Amino acid sequence: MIYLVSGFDRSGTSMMMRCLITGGLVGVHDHFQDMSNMIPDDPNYHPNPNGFYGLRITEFNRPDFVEEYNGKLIKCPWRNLRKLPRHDYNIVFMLRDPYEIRTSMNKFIPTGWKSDRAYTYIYDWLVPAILEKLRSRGDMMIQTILYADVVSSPQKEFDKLQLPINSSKAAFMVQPELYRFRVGYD
Amino acid sequence: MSKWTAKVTNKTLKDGQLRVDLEYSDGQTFIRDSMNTKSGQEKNWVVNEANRRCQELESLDTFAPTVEIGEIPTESKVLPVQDLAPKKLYASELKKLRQWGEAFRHGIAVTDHASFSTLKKWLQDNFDPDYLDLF
Repeated sequence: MIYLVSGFDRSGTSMMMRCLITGGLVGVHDHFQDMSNMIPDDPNYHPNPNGFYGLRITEFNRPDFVEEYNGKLIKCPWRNLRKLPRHDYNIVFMLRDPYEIRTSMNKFIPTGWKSDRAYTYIYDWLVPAILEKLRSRGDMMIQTILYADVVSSPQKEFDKLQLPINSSKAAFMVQPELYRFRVGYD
Repeated sequence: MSKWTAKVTNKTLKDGQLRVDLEYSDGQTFIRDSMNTKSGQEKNWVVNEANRRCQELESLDTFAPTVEIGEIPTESKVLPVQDLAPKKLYASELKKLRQWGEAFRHGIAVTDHASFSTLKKWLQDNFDPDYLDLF
Protein backbone atom coordinates (compact mmCIF):
# COMPACT_ATOMS: atom_id res chain seq x y z
CA MET A 1 0.00 0.00 0.00
CA ILE A 2 1.25 3.46 -0.91
CA TYR A 3 -0.42 6.40 0.80
CA LEU A 4 -0.84 9.55 -1.25
CA VAL A 5 -2.02 13.08 -0.71
CA SER A 6 -3.17 14.86 -3.84
CA GLY A 7 -5.36 17.63 -5.14
CA PHE A 8 -4.96 20.91 -6.94
CA ASP A 9 -2.11 23.09 -5.71
CA ARG A 10 -3.18 25.48 -2.94
CA SER A 11 -5.80 23.03 -1.66
CA GLY A 12 -4.20 22.18 1.65
CA THR A 13 -2.17 19.21 0.45
CA SER A 14 0.95 20.30 2.33
CA MET A 15 -1.06 20.74 5.52
CA MET A 16 -2.53 17.28 5.07
CA MET A 17 0.94 15.79 4.59
CA ARG A 18 2.17 17.42 7.78
CA CYS A 19 -0.85 16.19 9.73
CA LEU A 20 -0.68 12.61 8.48
CA ILE A 21 3.04 12.37 9.17
CA THR A 22 2.43 13.59 12.71
CA GLY A 23 -0.45 11.13 12.91
CA GLY A 24 1.94 8.26 12.30
CA LEU A 25 2.41 7.68 8.58
CA VAL A 26 5.95 7.52 7.28
CA GLY A 27 6.18 10.48 4.96
CA VAL A 28 8.81 10.96 2.29
CA HIS A 29 9.51 14.39 0.88
CA ASP A 30 12.36 16.69 0.01
CA HIS A 31 12.93 20.39 0.28
CA PHE A 32 13.56 21.37 -3.33
CA GLN A 33 10.38 23.47 -3.43
CA ASP A 34 11.01 25.25 -0.19
CA MET A 35 13.32 27.83 -1.75
CA SER A 36 10.25 29.27 -3.47
CA ASN A 37 8.50 29.71 -0.16
CA MET A 38 8.57 33.47 -0.32
CA ILE A 39 7.33 36.08 -2.73
CA PRO A 40 9.51 39.12 -3.52
CA ASP A 41 6.67 41.65 -3.34
CA ASP A 42 5.59 40.63 0.13
CA PRO A 43 8.39 39.29 2.34
CA ASN A 44 5.90 38.78 5.16
CA TYR A 45 3.82 36.33 3.18
CA HIS A 46 5.04 32.75 3.17
CA PRO A 47 2.86 30.55 0.98
CA ASN A 48 3.67 27.40 2.94
CA PRO A 49 5.47 28.38 6.15
CA ASN A 50 5.75 24.73 7.21
CA GLY A 51 7.12 23.56 3.87
CA PHE A 52 5.64 21.99 0.76
CA TYR A 53 6.21 18.31 1.56
CA GLY A 54 6.66 17.62 -2.15
CA LEU A 55 8.84 15.20 -4.05
CA ARG A 56 10.83 15.86 -7.17
CA ILE A 57 8.65 14.89 -10.11
CA THR A 58 11.33 12.53 -11.40
CA GLU A 59 10.70 10.29 -8.39
CA PHE A 60 7.37 9.27 -9.89
CA ASN A 61 9.15 7.91 -12.96
CA ARG A 62 11.50 5.64 -11.03
CA PRO A 63 11.36 2.06 -12.27
CA ASP A 64 11.38 0.92 -8.63
CA PHE A 65 8.77 3.48 -7.57
CA VAL A 66 6.51 0.86 -5.97
CA GLU A 67 9.31 -0.83 -4.08
CA GLU A 68 10.77 2.46 -2.91
CA TYR A 69 7.53 3.98 -1.66
CA ASN A 70 5.51 0.98 -0.56
CA GLY A 71 4.16 1.64 2.93
CA LYS A 72 5.08 5.32 2.72
CA LEU A 73 3.17 8.56 2.38
CA ILE A 74 3.99 10.93 -0.47
CA LYS A 75 2.40 13.96 -2.06
CA CYS A 76 1.49 13.35 -5.68
CA PRO A 77 0.46 16.02 -8.19
CA TRP A 78 -3.01 15.17 -9.49
CA ARG A 79 -1.76 14.81 -13.06
CA ASN A 80 0.64 12.09 -12.00
CA LEU A 81 -1.98 9.95 -10.28
CA ARG A 82 -3.24 8.31 -13.46
CA LYS A 83 0.33 7.57 -14.57
CA LEU A 84 1.25 5.63 -11.44
CA PRO A 85 2.14 1.95 -11.87
CA ARG A 86 -0.41 -0.60 -10.77
CA HIS A 87 -0.32 -1.16 -7.02
CA ASP A 88 -2.54 -0.52 -4.01
CA TYR A 89 -3.04 3.18 -3.32
CA ASN A 90 -4.85 4.91 -0.51
CA ILE A 91 -5.33 8.51 -1.60
CA VAL A 92 -6.48 11.52 0.34
CA PHE A 93 -7.66 13.98 -2.31
CA MET A 94 -7.99 17.51 -1.00
CA LEU A 95 -10.88 19.65 -2.19
CA ARG A 96 -11.20 23.39 -1.85
CA ASP A 97 -13.51 26.07 -3.11
CA PRO A 98 -12.14 26.89 -6.59
CA TYR A 99 -12.40 30.60 -5.96
CA GLU A 100 -10.17 30.19 -2.92
CA ILE A 101 -7.69 28.13 -4.93
CA ARG A 102 -7.51 30.83 -7.56
CA THR A 103 -7.09 33.57 -5.00
CA SER A 104 -4.28 31.70 -3.30
CA MET A 105 -2.56 31.04 -6.64
CA ASN A 106 -2.82 34.71 -7.54
CA LYS A 107 -1.22 35.74 -4.27
CA PHE A 108 1.59 33.19 -4.46
CA ILE A 109 2.60 33.27 -8.14
CA PRO A 110 0.39 35.69 -10.12
CA THR A 111 1.88 34.59 -13.43
CA GLY A 112 1.93 30.88 -12.65
CA TRP A 113 -0.49 27.99 -12.89
CA LYS A 114 -1.89 29.09 -16.24
CA SER A 115 -3.60 25.75 -16.78
CA ASP A 116 -4.73 24.88 -13.30
CA ARG A 117 -5.95 28.38 -12.63
CA ALA A 118 -8.13 28.09 -15.74
CA TYR A 119 -9.32 24.66 -14.67
CA THR A 120 -10.63 26.09 -11.43
CA TYR A 121 -13.43 27.53 -13.56
CA ILE A 122 -14.57 24.00 -14.39
CA TYR A 123 -13.41 22.48 -11.09
CA ASP A 124 -16.91 21.41 -10.03
CA TRP A 125 -17.26 18.79 -12.75
CA LEU A 126 -13.60 18.26 -13.67
CA VAL A 127 -12.51 16.95 -10.28
CA PRO A 128 -15.31 14.35 -10.04
CA ALA A 129 -14.40 13.26 -13.57
CA ILE A 130 -10.75 12.88 -12.60
CA LEU A 131 -11.67 10.88 -9.51
CA GLU A 132 -14.06 8.63 -11.42
CA LYS A 133 -11.36 7.85 -13.98
CA LEU A 134 -8.87 7.06 -11.23
CA ARG A 135 -11.31 4.85 -9.35
CA SER A 136 -11.97 2.89 -12.52
CA ARG A 137 -8.37 1.59 -12.34
CA GLY A 138 -9.46 -0.57 -9.45
CA ASP A 139 -6.31 -0.13 -7.42
CA MET A 140 -6.99 3.26 -5.87
CA MET A 141 -9.05 3.98 -2.79
CA ILE A 142 -9.78 7.70 -2.88
CA GLN A 143 -10.98 9.63 0.13
CA THR A 144 -11.95 13.22 -0.55
CA ILE A 145 -11.79 15.81 2.16
CA LEU A 146 -12.62 19.50 2.13
CA TYR A 147 -9.86 21.82 3.24
CA ALA A 148 -12.41 24.06 4.96
CA ASP A 149 -13.81 21.09 6.91
CA VAL A 150 -10.36 20.03 8.09
CA VAL A 151 -9.74 23.50 9.40
CA SER A 152 -13.11 23.85 11.09
CA SER A 153 -13.42 20.32 12.50
CA PRO A 154 -10.04 18.63 12.31
CA GLN A 155 -10.71 15.84 14.80
CA LYS A 156 -13.96 14.87 13.11
CA GLU A 157 -12.38 14.86 9.66
CA PHE A 158 -9.34 12.83 10.63
CA ASP A 159 -11.56 10.35 12.47
CA LYS A 160 -13.37 9.74 9.19
CA LEU A 161 -10.26 8.88 7.22
CA GLN A 162 -9.51 5.21 6.72
CA LEU A 163 -5.84 5.45 7.54
CA PRO A 164 -3.61 3.90 10.21
CA ILE A 165 -3.10 7.17 12.07
CA ASN A 166 -3.59 8.70 15.46
CA SER A 167 -6.29 11.18 14.47
CA SER A 168 -5.84 13.34 17.56
CA LYS A 169 -2.16 13.89 16.81
CA ALA A 170 -2.97 14.61 13.17
CA ALA A 171 -5.72 17.05 14.11
CA PHE A 172 -3.42 18.88 16.50
CA MET A 173 -1.25 20.04 13.60
CA VAL A 174 -4.00 21.97 11.82
CA GLN A 175 -3.31 25.69 11.95
CA PRO A 176 -6.50 27.60 11.09
CA GLU A 177 -4.54 30.83 10.78
CA LEU A 178 -2.92 29.46 7.62
CA TYR A 179 -6.29 29.16 5.91
CA ARG A 180 -5.95 32.67 4.60
CA PHE A 181 -8.14 32.89 1.54
CA ARG A 182 -11.70 32.09 2.40
CA VAL A 183 -14.77 32.75 0.36
CA GLY A 184 -16.07 36.11 1.43
CA TYR A 185 -13.03 37.04 3.48
CA ASP A 186 -10.32 38.16 1.06
CA MET B 1 -7.05 -19.28 -19.37
CA SER B 2 -4.45 -20.86 -17.11
CA LYS B 3 -4.75 -20.42 -13.37
CA TRP B 4 -1.61 -19.11 -11.66
CA THR B 5 -0.74 -19.83 -8.08
CA ALA B 6 1.96 -18.48 -5.82
CA LYS B 7 3.96 -19.69 -2.89
CA VAL B 8 6.59 -18.18 -0.64
CA THR B 9 9.80 -20.15 -1.01
CA ASN B 10 12.10 -18.19 1.27
CA LYS B 11 12.55 -15.06 3.31
CA THR B 12 15.70 -13.28 4.40
CA LEU B 13 16.16 -10.33 6.70
CA LYS B 14 19.50 -8.69 6.00
CA ASP B 15 20.91 -5.16 6.20
CA GLY B 16 17.60 -3.74 7.34
CA GLN B 17 15.70 -5.16 4.41
CA LEU B 18 13.28 -8.05 4.20
CA ARG B 19 13.35 -10.08 1.01
CA VAL B 20 10.51 -12.48 0.33
CA ASP B 21 11.10 -15.01 -2.46
CA LEU B 22 8.05 -16.21 -4.35
CA GLU B 23 7.41 -18.80 -6.97
CA TYR B 24 4.52 -18.48 -9.38
CA SER B 25 3.27 -21.38 -11.42
CA ASP B 26 0.49 -22.26 -13.83
CA GLY B 27 1.32 -25.96 -13.48
CA GLN B 28 3.74 -25.94 -16.40
CA THR B 29 5.81 -22.80 -16.05
CA PHE B 30 7.57 -21.58 -12.94
CA ILE B 31 8.51 -17.95 -12.39
CA ARG B 32 10.66 -16.83 -9.51
CA ASP B 33 10.28 -13.34 -8.15
CA SER B 34 10.99 -11.47 -4.95
CA MET B 35 9.52 -8.64 -2.92
CA ASN B 36 11.59 -6.30 -0.80
CA THR B 37 10.70 -3.94 1.96
CA LYS B 38 12.64 -1.74 4.31
CA SER B 39 9.78 -1.26 6.74
CA GLY B 40 6.84 -3.09 8.24
CA GLN B 41 3.88 -3.64 5.98
CA GLU B 42 0.24 -4.43 6.36
CA LYS B 43 -0.51 -7.96 7.51
CA ASN B 44 -1.70 -9.14 4.08
CA TRP B 45 1.00 -7.42 2.08
CA VAL B 46 2.57 -10.56 0.65
CA VAL B 47 -0.76 -12.26 -0.01
CA ASN B 48 -2.21 -9.22 -1.73
CA GLU B 49 0.87 -8.65 -3.86
CA ALA B 50 1.05 -12.31 -4.85
CA ASN B 51 -2.62 -12.38 -5.78
CA ARG B 52 -2.22 -9.29 -7.88
CA ARG B 53 0.77 -10.78 -9.68
CA CYS B 54 -1.21 -13.94 -10.37
CA GLN B 55 -3.97 -11.84 -11.93
CA GLU B 56 -1.40 -10.03 -14.05
CA LEU B 57 0.06 -13.32 -15.25
CA GLU B 58 -3.39 -14.63 -16.12
CA SER B 59 -4.27 -11.49 -18.05
CA LEU B 60 -0.91 -11.75 -19.82
CA ASP B 61 -1.77 -15.29 -20.91
CA THR B 62 -5.00 -14.00 -22.36
CA PHE B 63 -3.39 -11.06 -24.09
CA ALA B 64 -0.27 -12.71 -25.52
CA PRO B 65 -2.07 -14.80 -28.20
CA THR B 66 -3.76 -11.68 -29.53
CA VAL B 67 -0.42 -10.13 -30.54
CA GLU B 68 0.16 -11.06 -34.17
CA ILE B 69 3.65 -11.63 -35.51
CA GLY B 70 4.44 -9.99 -38.81
CA GLU B 71 4.30 -6.68 -40.54
CA ILE B 72 1.83 -4.25 -39.09
CA PRO B 73 -0.59 -2.93 -41.71
CA THR B 74 0.07 0.74 -42.33
CA GLU B 75 -3.53 1.75 -41.77
CA SER B 76 -3.43 0.48 -38.18
CA LYS B 77 -0.49 2.71 -37.30
CA VAL B 78 -2.64 5.79 -37.16
CA LEU B 79 -6.10 6.30 -35.84
CA PRO B 80 -8.75 7.15 -38.38
CA VAL B 81 -9.18 10.88 -38.82
CA GLN B 82 -12.74 10.76 -37.52
CA ASP B 83 -11.43 9.34 -34.20
CA LEU B 84 -8.78 11.98 -33.79
CA ALA B 85 -10.90 14.95 -34.72
CA PRO B 86 -13.06 15.21 -31.56
CA LYS B 87 -10.03 15.07 -29.31
CA LYS B 88 -8.17 17.68 -31.33
CA LEU B 89 -11.22 19.88 -31.22
CA TYR B 90 -11.49 19.39 -27.48
CA ALA B 91 -7.82 20.30 -27.03
CA SER B 92 -8.40 23.44 -29.04
CA GLU B 93 -11.37 24.47 -26.91
CA LEU B 94 -9.42 23.71 -23.75
CA LYS B 95 -6.73 26.07 -24.96
CA LYS B 96 -9.40 28.74 -25.21
CA LEU B 97 -10.30 28.14 -21.58
CA ARG B 98 -6.69 28.81 -20.60
CA GLN B 99 -6.75 31.98 -22.70
CA TRP B 100 -9.91 33.11 -20.93
CA GLY B 101 -8.18 32.42 -17.63
CA GLU B 102 -5.34 34.71 -18.61
CA ALA B 103 -7.77 37.38 -19.75
CA PHE B 104 -9.46 37.27 -16.34
CA ARG B 105 -6.14 37.47 -14.58
CA HIS B 106 -5.21 40.58 -16.54
CA GLY B 107 -8.60 42.09 -15.87
CA ILE B 108 -9.51 42.41 -19.56
CA ALA B 109 -12.58 40.17 -19.38
CA VAL B 110 -15.17 39.22 -16.82
CA THR B 111 -16.19 35.70 -15.91
CA ASP B 112 -19.88 36.18 -16.67
CA HIS B 113 -19.15 36.77 -20.35
CA ALA B 114 -21.66 34.76 -22.41
CA SER B 115 -18.97 33.23 -24.64
CA PHE B 116 -17.12 31.98 -21.63
CA SER B 117 -20.25 30.35 -20.21
CA THR B 118 -20.89 28.70 -23.57
CA LEU B 119 -17.31 27.41 -23.68
CA LYS B 120 -17.54 25.95 -20.17
CA LYS B 121 -20.77 24.17 -21.02
CA TRP B 122 -19.31 22.83 -24.26
CA LEU B 123 -16.27 21.47 -22.45
CA GLN B 124 -18.48 19.71 -19.93
CA ASP B 125 -20.94 18.35 -22.50
CA ASN B 126 -18.20 17.03 -24.77
CA PHE B 127 -15.86 15.72 -22.08
CA ASP B 128 -14.60 12.18 -22.40
CA PRO B 129 -12.51 10.52 -19.68
CA ASP B 130 -9.94 9.69 -22.36
CA TYR B 131 -9.32 13.40 -22.81
CA LEU B 132 -7.82 13.76 -19.31
CA ASP B 133 -4.33 13.61 -20.77
CA LEU B 134 -5.08 16.96 -22.41
CA PHE B 135 -5.43 18.67 -19.06
